[in-house]
Amino acid sequence: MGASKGQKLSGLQKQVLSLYRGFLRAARSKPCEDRCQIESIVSAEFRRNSKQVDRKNFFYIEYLLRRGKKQLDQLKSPDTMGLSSLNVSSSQKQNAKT
Amino acid sequence: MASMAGSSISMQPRHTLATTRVSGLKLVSFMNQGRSSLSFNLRPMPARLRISCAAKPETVDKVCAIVRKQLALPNDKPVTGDSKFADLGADSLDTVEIVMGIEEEFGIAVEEDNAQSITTVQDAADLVEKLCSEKSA
Amino acid sequence: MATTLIRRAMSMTSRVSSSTVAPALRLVVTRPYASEAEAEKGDAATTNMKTFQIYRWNPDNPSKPQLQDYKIDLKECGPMVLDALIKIKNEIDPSLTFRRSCREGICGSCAMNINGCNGLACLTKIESGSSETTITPLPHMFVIKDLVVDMTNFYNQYKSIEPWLKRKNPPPTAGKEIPQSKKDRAKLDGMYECILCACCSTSCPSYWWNPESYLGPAALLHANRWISDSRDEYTKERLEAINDEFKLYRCHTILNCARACPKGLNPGKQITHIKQLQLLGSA
Repeated sequence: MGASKGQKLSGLQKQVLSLYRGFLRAARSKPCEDRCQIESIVSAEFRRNSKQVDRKNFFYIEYLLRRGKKQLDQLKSPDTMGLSSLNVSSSQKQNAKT
Repeated sequence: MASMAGSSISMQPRHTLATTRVSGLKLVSFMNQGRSSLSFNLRPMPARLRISCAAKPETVDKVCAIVRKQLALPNDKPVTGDSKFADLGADSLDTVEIVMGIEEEFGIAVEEDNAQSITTVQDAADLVEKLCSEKSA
Repeated sequence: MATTLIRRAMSMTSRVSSSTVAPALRLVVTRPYASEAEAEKGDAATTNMKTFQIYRWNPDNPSKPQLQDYKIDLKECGPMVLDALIKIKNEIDPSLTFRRSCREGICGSCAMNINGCNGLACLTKIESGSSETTITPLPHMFVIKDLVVDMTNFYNQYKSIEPWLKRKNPPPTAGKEIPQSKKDRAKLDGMYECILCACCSTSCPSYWWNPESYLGPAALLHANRWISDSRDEYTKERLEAINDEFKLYRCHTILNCARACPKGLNPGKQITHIKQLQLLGSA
């Protein structure tokens, strides 16, 4: 979802941004510390995907949207305190990509 | 390409019942009655002129400060009402963050459609004024 | 019935032994149990290879979904599609993902599309005649991975019909169950057997078009199950709740549901029953 200079957003892009907004809104309802953590994880996740995911791979983006919506529903519950992120890397070389 | 990183997000349940919510923000929803044409903002000349006489300078300054903070801009980088978020190096995710920051600062709720039409500081300031006046009315 | 059971038990013992005994001994162990016909075939060819084309998609490696071919020897595999899937997962590709549990058609986990028909893998025999069997996830469902689909919407629709006994009055004898006549109990036949595998709903073109607003055959069958229950005292409210252009009346009696149901039920018939009650109620 790269920078767009006044470019019209596609429906899919709008959905992604709306999901991001939803996460930030949900984070507001949490205590300050949790909130900061949630915001940083969510922001990192969205930015990582915005760089890594092929923007023409609608199938995958839609999958991520559905997964995100589910996670957002969970986060919205008052019983949910915060988020934690677990990174599993199965690569031999961490920087093989670069 | 050998690298394959998968990340998962897990939720931590809250065990204590006592939840003191941050109540500073008021979620008030407004119908968008006036400027409903979003494409307006894409045609810069008439829109800019119209808007620049709408918002108060202090509102614009406040918005500028929020933008500066969200984008972590250096002090010597000029941010004015005419500044486009995209030109300041903001992507669409940053724009969402800026709008969220504005919401909190002014205690307003920006509707989805409006939020996505904001591309300049002036747009934001204008919308803030409109929503604030609707709220107090 | 008895003979099939025995044969099944035998084939199971032979399978257990064949997996523990060295290959050379396997023939000796299995031979006594095999029927004459099977023995003849065994002489003609020692293997019976069959190709399974299986839908693959992994979110961790987001490329396009594709069909992957697996060849297995039916001589060394149980008779059902689920046996083949388990064999493939055990011996060829551990990354193949599917849901399964009871392997006897009572849990409804292994619902999938086999050669174009929805069904339970554990109750569907492997076709020995054709050379290939194609296995894909339930149609028009969001795929989570390979053959695993997202059932959230389906379960939410089930939940929406409030599938539990609702009473206005306390039971006739306090603290005891509510009695029901044999005749009233018989009204629930053809409905209580449903295992919510979603084979019917995902075979319904109406459900494909309106997966959110139309409740689908499975949920409606269960709605009728509670509407028809003599002990339930919310019949009117239940009928009212689903009396909706979309929730109920998207059923156009296409009856793919009855065709797909692995338990031999007829959801279409139950939906018709609800529609009849709606007419009676409004008359």
